[in-house]
Amino acid sequence: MRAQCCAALILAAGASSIACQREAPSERQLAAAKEYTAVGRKIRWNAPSAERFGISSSDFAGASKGGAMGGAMGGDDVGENALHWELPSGWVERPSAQFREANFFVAGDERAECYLTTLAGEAGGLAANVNRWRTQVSLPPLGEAEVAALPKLPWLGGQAAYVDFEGHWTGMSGDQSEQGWRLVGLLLVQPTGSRFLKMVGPSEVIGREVAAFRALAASFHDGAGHAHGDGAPAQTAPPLSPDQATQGLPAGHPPMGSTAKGGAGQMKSETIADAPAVDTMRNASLEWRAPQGWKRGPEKTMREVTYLADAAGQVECYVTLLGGSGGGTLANINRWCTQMGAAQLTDADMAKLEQVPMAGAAGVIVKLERGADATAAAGQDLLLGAVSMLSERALFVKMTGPRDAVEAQHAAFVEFCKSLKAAR
Amino acid sequence: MKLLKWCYDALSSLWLSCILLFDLGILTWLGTLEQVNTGLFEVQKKYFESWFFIHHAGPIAIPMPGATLVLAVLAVNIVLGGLVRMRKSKATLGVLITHIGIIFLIFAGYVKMNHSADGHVTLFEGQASNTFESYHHWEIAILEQLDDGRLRETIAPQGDFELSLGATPVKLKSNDLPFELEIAHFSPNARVLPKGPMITPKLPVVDGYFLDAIELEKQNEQNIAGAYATVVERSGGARQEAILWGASRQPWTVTVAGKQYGIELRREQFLMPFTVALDDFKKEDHPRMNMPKSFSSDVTVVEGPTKRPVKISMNEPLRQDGLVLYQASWGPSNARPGDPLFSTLAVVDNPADQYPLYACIVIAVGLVMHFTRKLAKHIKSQQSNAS
Amino acid sequence: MNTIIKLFASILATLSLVAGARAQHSHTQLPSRSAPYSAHTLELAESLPVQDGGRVKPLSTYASFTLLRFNGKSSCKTVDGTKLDATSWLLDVLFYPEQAAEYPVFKVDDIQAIEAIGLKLEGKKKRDRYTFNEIRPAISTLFERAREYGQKEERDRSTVEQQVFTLATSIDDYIRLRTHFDFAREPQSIADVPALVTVFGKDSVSFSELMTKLPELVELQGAWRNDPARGEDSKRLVQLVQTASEYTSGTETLALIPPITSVKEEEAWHSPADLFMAAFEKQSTPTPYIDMLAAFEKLALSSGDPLQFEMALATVHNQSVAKTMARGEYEKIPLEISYYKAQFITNSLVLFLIGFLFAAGMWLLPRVKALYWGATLSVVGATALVVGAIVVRCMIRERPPVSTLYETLLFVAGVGAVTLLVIEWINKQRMALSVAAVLGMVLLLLANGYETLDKRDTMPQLIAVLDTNFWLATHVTAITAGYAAGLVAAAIANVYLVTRLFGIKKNDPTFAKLLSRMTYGSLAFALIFSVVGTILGGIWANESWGRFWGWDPKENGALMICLAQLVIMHARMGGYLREFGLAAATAFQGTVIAFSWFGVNLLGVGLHSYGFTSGIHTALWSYYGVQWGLVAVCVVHYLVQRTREDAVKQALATRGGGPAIPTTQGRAE
Repeated sequence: MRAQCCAALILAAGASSIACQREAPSERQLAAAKEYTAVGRKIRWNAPSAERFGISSSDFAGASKGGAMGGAMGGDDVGENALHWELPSGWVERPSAQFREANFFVAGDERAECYLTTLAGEAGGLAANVNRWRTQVSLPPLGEAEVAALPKLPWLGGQAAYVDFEGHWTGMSGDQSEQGWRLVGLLLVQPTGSRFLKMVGPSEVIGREVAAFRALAASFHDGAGHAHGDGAPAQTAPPLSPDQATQGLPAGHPPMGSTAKGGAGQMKSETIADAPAVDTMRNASLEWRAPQGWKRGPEKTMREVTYLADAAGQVECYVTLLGGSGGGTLANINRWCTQMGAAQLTDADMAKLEQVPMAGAAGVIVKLERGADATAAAGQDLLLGAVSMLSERALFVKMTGPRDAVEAQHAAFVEFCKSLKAAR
Repeated sequence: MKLLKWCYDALSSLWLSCILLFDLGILTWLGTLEQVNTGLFEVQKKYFESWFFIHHAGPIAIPMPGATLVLAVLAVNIVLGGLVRMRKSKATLGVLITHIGIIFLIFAGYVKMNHSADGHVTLFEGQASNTFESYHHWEIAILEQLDDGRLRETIAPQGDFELSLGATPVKLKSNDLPFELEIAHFSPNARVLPKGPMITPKLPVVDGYFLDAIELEKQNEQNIAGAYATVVERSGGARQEAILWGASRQPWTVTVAGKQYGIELRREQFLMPFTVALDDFKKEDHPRMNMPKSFSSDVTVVEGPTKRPVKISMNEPLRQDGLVLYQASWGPSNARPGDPLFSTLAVVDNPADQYPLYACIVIAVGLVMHFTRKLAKHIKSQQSNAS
Repeated sequence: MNTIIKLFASILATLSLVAGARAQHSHTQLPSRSAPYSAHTLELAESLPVQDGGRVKPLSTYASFTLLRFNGKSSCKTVDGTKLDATSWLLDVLFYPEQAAEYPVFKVDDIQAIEAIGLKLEGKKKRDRYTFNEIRPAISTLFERAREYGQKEERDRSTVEQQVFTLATSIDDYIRLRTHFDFAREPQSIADVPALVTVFGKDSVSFSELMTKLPELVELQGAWRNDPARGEDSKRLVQLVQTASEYTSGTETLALIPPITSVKEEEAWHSPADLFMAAFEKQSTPTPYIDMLAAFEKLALSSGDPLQFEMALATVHNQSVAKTMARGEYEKIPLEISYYKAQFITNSLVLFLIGFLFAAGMWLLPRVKALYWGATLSVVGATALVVGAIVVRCMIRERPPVSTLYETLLFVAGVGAVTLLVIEWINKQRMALSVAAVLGMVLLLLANGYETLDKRDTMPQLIAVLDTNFWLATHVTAITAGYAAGLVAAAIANVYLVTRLFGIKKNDPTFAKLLSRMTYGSLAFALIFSVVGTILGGIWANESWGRFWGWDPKENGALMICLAQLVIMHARMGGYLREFGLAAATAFQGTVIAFSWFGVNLLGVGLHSYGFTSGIHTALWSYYGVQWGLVAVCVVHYLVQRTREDAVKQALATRGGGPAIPTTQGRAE
């Protein structure tokens, strides 16, 4: 009986394996067509490849927000003012991210990035942004006059500053270390809103792609007045042609700032390279790096994170993130003034304050001594505060403690503020 | 004749039943453990929807029968051994009934495997659709716009082109079309990349783009197929080429003999006899907790001139025209309050939908009959022993 | 108006006065408790409703599961070693925080976790309990480490890292509890601001008074903030509100304030923090909430005086219960209190143990009838208690008997014991009774162990898909009954194996035969429930997700049970398994049930991996090991024995001697 069963199994196996043989057929006859009304479907005939694959037009970049369902969520819900552009050949478009309205890998090289950021208002001003970028490539900041002397290009209806720096890339939060990188960018700073187009990567890659970068910049234009559905968004005359774009700099002009090679940039890079690596911390809304020796303090509501900055635990530093503008930078700084019993600041005073890049916007730093009228708790002799207005949110960092102890943490405080960024 | 008898004896034997049930148990066990490392879809294909497979236990490769084979033989075994050959008496009535139930259950499985369709329709609030799409299977559709606004679609199911893995194309033909469609380089998971100066693609570049085959994802739903398509005009033999990609937002448009055709590679689509529009999606949490209490979609079902509002929620699907629509998931998962939400409704067209319930009742009746009888007998013997 | 509110909110956030110090806050001037709480005080506290884990429950339940989480048991010891129940402990933490800080309530399994946060404490054992004051100096290190380890997946953390993480969670929750009533304890002085004195009509202001005027204060601040003459007043005003905000922050963990509206309108209860934040947006706080806050203040301030305290607690209790009743959320609270008071499970466990002792005596002294009756009474009593517990739980939650992993343990114990008692009643061979005592005891011990491991309310809310009484009542109940009967069969089979291995009752073939029949009977019972339960599970899945079967690990586990039982049944029918084979296979089948019941949850995949199970690993593998070992030994023993008998038989046959000696193995019917 057992032998019978085994034989039966083998038989069945043989039969089934014969039935399972498959090979590629060379021809297939298709079944008859069906006709129906496809509800909710809008076909765009003659869509170019770029639009079909969604790799080059911002029209459809937004649709990727639909998530896992991909093609299922065809997006027609594109804002009228969305930007359009033409992807340079060989570049790869990446999904747009926070602070990155358009986002690319330059020449398909994953080290080299290019992206467009739009911020409300002047975003801290031109100089702050130029110098933020210079810091990222380990170059010393430029003075007001030098910033003013940067070449200007017409871009998106305004005059944009054009920069081309080369140096030691430390990353946006100083956590990277790459020798011989180049940063090319356009900064359009206007009270009505600012736009930044930045390309950064290894010099040899960027060098080849500068023309492509200018062409990309030239191809940017608002969707306003542009009819959707004609299938050729790039054919509308852009406000800036590639030819115009190169006017700013003569062909073969060496990138600005490259003269600093081996100078200050180099020195700074060494100190950063020597600095011990600190892990990036993050929570739901922010990422940051804690300076050496800072200890995590207890969690409190309305605070993103609290640190005790000195060994004795007397210097407290914490971060708050609020929706809205929280009354604006000046109002908030003046609250601190009240608390420390210091004189209220005016707009003029504000302008003199130290600026730092914080979470993609310009932040200001104040240092307030305790006055006679202070309401702050005892032991809070010195206050270091930083305020940064992000889009729709306000970011505050505050450090208090005994005078000398806080003073000793000044540099660390600034580093900490710089390391803050919006969590991805 | 002797051989036939021999086969009959073997296939109807109780010994075979034990072997098959045991083997099914082992398969289930292996298929469960394998899920720790491999995605469910792959496991299911390998262990449960196969006739044969090779199980790798460390360095040893063991060829094993797949669950489809085991279940098929088991069905034969139950019919022959558990019904035909079995002694029919009062004593075996319960067992016979149970066996009928089991056969019916296996039959339900067979129907489900071969004659059902399942997929989903995913809608943002305010959107509507009268098709649902498969989670797993692909198809190539050739579209024509008709003057009355309707679409005319000629479909090639995945089986027609999925073996065209290399450069040798499969030709898809239809008498109604003025061209043949050649499909080559099919890839079950691929991305489309623009050809840059630093890239040397393995596959041809068409219109500045090429298809880049990538490794399969653990979750099969995340794979996006791609292929190269060539339209060859029947008269004249002119050729037009393009890349078809599962995540394309628009079909590839070709003009043949002055007429426009759209060609797309997409997840298999099924037409529903009605339109479903998502009016509102609601998600409720338990108070002061992050734990979902209920999800529901308020939809309007439009069938011809009739409209009716329906609420689809967890454990309360909508049954209409042989289709069942379930609240399956929602998103985007990172949505903030006030953001538009989408709701994913799973759609199943399964003629055997209710069979398991009937089978369950039959089996329960059979088992209870059989074992009650045995118990009664036992108690009786116990009592006669005692007295 | 809106901008003013925003401004105020931002001020609150930016001007942190009390700062992080509050977590470390010492309530130095607080009175301490010298006498135990009166019975009435405790009664009031126990039945105070609180919303936690998505449902309204008595404070006693909240207290005991919170203490269980910290302390590994739901009672603790005070400084002088007196035992304290969970509710008294919670009252101490809330109202005598400095005193409670000296109670050792944080159980740490490995002292390395304490050393890892930089604490060096003398005279502590490897596994020991710590007071809040002992941990206090290392809190910031603790949180820092925990944050670090929290970035890892739980399965990637080492044991010490996991313990640090758990301790940090406990300490964090504990701090929130001990500072919960800070808002009620400390009225603020406004004597130095005449304008504010005018507003309030007094020179110190409590939180509840502040809440009544909060809208006015917001407006006032708007007016004062640009008025140079009001600089100082404005500052003090901001400080006043800021301090109140600081006091309420962290109070979200304990929602003691029932909404004044109906459940339909507002399901979530309130904490002082919620009310405070709402006051900014809605601008005015309904009087009942103010009254409730005032009652809490009275309670907090009277903590030194037992009589005053009891009266204040009664006020709080009355207000809260009245609102809870009006919302229809109070009905089950007295029942839940009685359920925990009655200690069904512990008592049942004790009775099972007594039953087991009687049963052991009964086998040693078979003539003493009293032992049999003792065993019967204890086991019946124990079973009644388990069944009672299940029934009461069903009544409290208005759910079918099984909805969580913990409840499967109770249900399997109950159904298993009842099944065995029925078998006992049928054959009166004392065997089933003894097995019932052992099985009940083991399962209830597991249930207690699970509760301690899980550390969460065993009557929780369910996620959306599980929240259906129909399927819980049919599928879950059937499949769990299948587990119970299958384990009963396995237990009896083990008795068979052991008696055979040790040659007990060697000369009584009817005994072996009886065990075999009992095994078979329970297995048949199990098969019905397993098969029906499994198919019902598929039908449920079909109703919920549109697929009958998805090869999900839990589904596969259920199928494996069915298949194991079917193989045994058919093999027995075909005569491939006889008495011994049946017993060995059925004992093995027990591990298949364990795999499906708990094992698949440890795989960490699929739709059914609910429940906290990482501590179950050891128990599960011990069971597998012991069971497989026993079966293996018995099989070897059996084969050796049979070879020997065959040899004897052969010898006799060749001698052409008398009739063949029957083997020990009785032929199948």
